[in-house]
Amino acid sequence: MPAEAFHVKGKKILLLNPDKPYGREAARGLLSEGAELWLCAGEPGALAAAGEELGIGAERRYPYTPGTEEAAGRLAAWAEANMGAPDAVVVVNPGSRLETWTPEFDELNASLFSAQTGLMLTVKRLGLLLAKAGRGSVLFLTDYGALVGYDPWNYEGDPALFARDFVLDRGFIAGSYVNYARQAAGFLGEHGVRCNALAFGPLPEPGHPGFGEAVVRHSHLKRLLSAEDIKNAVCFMVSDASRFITGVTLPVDGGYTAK
Amino acid sequence: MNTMELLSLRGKVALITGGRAMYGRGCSEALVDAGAKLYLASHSVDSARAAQEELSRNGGQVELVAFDQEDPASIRRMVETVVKREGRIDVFVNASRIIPRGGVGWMQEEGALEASVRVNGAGFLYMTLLVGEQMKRQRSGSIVNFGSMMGLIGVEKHNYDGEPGMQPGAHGHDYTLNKSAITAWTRHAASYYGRFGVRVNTLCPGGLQSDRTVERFRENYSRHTQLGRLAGHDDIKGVLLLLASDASSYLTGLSIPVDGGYTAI
Repeated sequence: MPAEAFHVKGKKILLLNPDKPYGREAARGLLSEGAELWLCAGEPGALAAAGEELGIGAERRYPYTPGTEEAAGRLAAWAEANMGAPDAVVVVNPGSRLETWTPEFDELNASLFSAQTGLMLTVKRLGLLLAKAGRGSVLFLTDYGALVGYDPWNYEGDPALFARDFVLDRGFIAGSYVNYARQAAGFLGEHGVRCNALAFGPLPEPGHPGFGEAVVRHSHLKRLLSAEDIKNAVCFMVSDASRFITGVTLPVDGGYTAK
Repeated sequence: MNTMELLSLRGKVALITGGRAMYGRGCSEALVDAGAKLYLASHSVDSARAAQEELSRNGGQVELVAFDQEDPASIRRMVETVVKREGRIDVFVNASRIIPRGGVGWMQEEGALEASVRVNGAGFLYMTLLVGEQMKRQRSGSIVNFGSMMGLIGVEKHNYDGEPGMQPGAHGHDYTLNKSAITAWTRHAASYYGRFGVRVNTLCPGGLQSDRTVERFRENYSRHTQLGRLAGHDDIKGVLLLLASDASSYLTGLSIPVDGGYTAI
């Protein structure tokens, strides 16, 4: 029955970085559709807060600071012991740690170490776990900066928001998922495992109405991204309805990047 | 203005990293041929003298400047040296990278991934930032990043068929992630610097025929291109010159495949 292919009920999903943009909405959405969820995050406080808000007990939470082979191996072992074979691993882009366009080298390196070295080691180890099971998928959640440049004109009259968003490595991190998904899909595909990415449009920015209005003006669907949009896209990508889709970065942005 | 004059780099100062070999060498030749004063940044100034001599043979102006992409102090000195001597940098081509050692394919090791992110990620961004900020002060300049067609598509492992030992390398992590990041960052940086008259673009070359190319790989790879061959030494020159010169004065944020049609089929 075709509709059943879209179900995520009972699927075992490991979600990394629920505290980052799009993470909370993805987690809530998967839970609301009956998926079983395990959470990882680098900051214990953020992990605990996300778990409590989502009703996920401590036994399903794992404090994980990516960046070393050992840590990634321990995460994979914990996932295997607690989940068996996950049906999906959802990695939310942790974003940049920078606060400026002109960082010192060490700040820049630390930001990329967290977001890229950590990502590759995590995907390597969890990918091997999925490959061993011969099924499942890896899904990256990133933003529209993976596909287009952030538009400085959307920030007119809002220098504070511009300064927050125009940090040096933001696009570098967001965009790394696009072709990494294709590359990982090559190795994982031979083991029956898929790898894709979702590139979301901006979320509403409370206190910054001008930015939201500018984004909407440039979007085909004339509204901002909602939690429901995130849920629907994530559920589709981890469900069997997308079982022949791999190596793809799907924009979920109301047509913002299509214009 | 005369069209051919738009392509001229006479009176301009260009800085290139990784400009001694492979695609980088072709870029250096193009910059010198077009009349730029070229600063050739090299890890070893002594070993770059032969390249300097060859590039200068037909009257080209080529200076050497020391540079180590693993060392932020060295990166700063490189940029400061050129700015101190010339007062400006009109063209920056960053064609350098390291090939990290440690593990192959999917099993690339932590040390290799960390080194790649530090040098090919942070080092790349840091040197481009320093040059970009100089160009921002000048209110002009062209940055040409080196991406790869492997920043646009995943690796076809069957290109390595018939070459025992090569295929596991097809599933590595860092190269495609880094080149994908450069492609996206090109748009990010173009967004930021565009208001200041600074353009940022990326070349995404395909495989280059060299004396190290394995015949079986050449055959496999060529069958994935529309032109039916690997790139030759001169194939990068025209598009590099286009991006470096005023002939592309309304072109920014682009990543251009130079791949014989590999990514088009």
